[in-house]
Amino acid sequence: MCSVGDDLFDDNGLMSTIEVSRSKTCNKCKTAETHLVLRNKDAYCKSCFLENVTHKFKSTLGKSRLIRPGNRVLFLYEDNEASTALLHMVRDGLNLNTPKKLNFCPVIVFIEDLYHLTIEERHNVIEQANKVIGEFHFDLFLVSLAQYAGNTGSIDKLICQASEVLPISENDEHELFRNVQPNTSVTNKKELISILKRNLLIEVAKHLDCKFIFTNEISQDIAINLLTNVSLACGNRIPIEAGFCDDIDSQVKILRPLYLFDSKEIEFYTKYNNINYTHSRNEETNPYSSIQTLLEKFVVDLQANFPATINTILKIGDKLDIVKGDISCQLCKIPICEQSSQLTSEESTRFSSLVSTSKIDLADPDLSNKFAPINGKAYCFSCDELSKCLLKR
Amino acid sequence: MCYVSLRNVNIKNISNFAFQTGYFLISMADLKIALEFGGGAEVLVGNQKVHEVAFPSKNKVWTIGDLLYWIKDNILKERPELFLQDGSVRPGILVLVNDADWELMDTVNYELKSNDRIVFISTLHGG
Ligand SMILES: [Zn+2]
Ligand SMILES: [Zn+2]
Repeated sequence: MCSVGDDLFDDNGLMSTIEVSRSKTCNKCKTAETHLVLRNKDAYCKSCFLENVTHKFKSTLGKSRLIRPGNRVLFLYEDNEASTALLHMVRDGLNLNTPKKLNFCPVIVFIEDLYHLTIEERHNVIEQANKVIGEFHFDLFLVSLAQYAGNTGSIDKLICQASEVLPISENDEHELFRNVQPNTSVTNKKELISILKRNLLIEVAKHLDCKFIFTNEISQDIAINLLTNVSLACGNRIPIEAGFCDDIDSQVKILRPLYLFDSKEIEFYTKYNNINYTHSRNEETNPYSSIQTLLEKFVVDLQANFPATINTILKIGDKLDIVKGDISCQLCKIPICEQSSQLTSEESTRFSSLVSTSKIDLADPDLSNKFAPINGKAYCFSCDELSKCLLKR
Repeated sequence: MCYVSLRNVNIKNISNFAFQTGYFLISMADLKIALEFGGGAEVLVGNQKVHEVAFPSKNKVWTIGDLLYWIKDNILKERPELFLQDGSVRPGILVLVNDADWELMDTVNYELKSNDRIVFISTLHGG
């Protein structure tokens, strides 16, 4: 796993309370009038703020030293502010005439899965994506997640040029979950979608000859995802999904250039650059409907009173190391934990489950095999659980 | 003549048209404010992004705190808990006063001035 310098984290202290600088002038240039407060304490003027954003973005990319001039980079475009802001930062960087100029070649993909919208609204989102990405002068490709899920053929038939019409139907959601038990929880459905999207992105990247994928998660998304992974017993995914770089695939790396940005920085960046983009309506959700939405509520509410919450979660993620193993899970593609002489958490879980659900004989010489992980299995522990909601495994 | 006050809503002779389009026309009022909702927060106020409102400011100072109660009583269509919490906005909603962060202006205690533009942006995914 590649990790980008710890120094990019802003240290807040674990229990810092809200204390806004009352100074009328900017923390950085000390002359201009302040316009916003970051991390609940540092006040900046508009231009120093924008400069900081650009600097943070470039240093995140630069420190990784992964991308070479001319490399093709696939951007996942989503219907959210962070996505538009990211493209704006990249366009600005490509347009520079200084040595700091970015010099890779962006290719954009939009994965259509906005099933909470009407057909007309879904077409509007694509039209809008087309317009926005056209204004940035990038190439856009479209893929339907439902078609991908229902299709076993080659990826090139699924990828549409922006000028072509992406097939959208009322039936898409049904199609997507055709192989899933009807009573599957929202949590598991979201989990399946996220695994499916990751696999699709990597396939698209390979097809379009891109060695890198840029996604648009900000710090808050990463923190929520980390706690979701803990809750869903996907510990093996944490070190891969909690940092800047996911290099599980041997050919394509997934990078998260916004992982150190918070939602406030993104919103003010969008506002101050006059990026006028209307995003489609959010799905109206009850925060208690899934683990993912509940953890969003938990993290956002906690962050409001304890501004170090998200950074603390991110730092924990940064300290975890990747599981080593030669066999990868067939669903999520993450290496499956190898047999080791020490008891693994998976074995402990099976052991507790065994002792609490059946009568066991401690003198049984075969006891340890009863909770040992099954050798040669296809799925990691959490996907094994998840796969129970699939009709055909 | 139409009249809108903050806590005790008192709307006289206000035309339906004005009400529906979000324009509150008030004579004698010298505190005109533009409210803007974005990032999904507009869904909570009848899917309308900009609301021009005006309050009588004679002998009365209006703070953003008062404004939040007014929004709750007058334009929040449903589920006020998605917008307000503990006398302020819900965590995850950003507030801008004339393009600047309200945290620089003492948040709910900021005293509104005529022609102020107050922007509420939701940064939450789930609504
Ligand atoms: Zn400055
Ligand atoms: Zn797995």
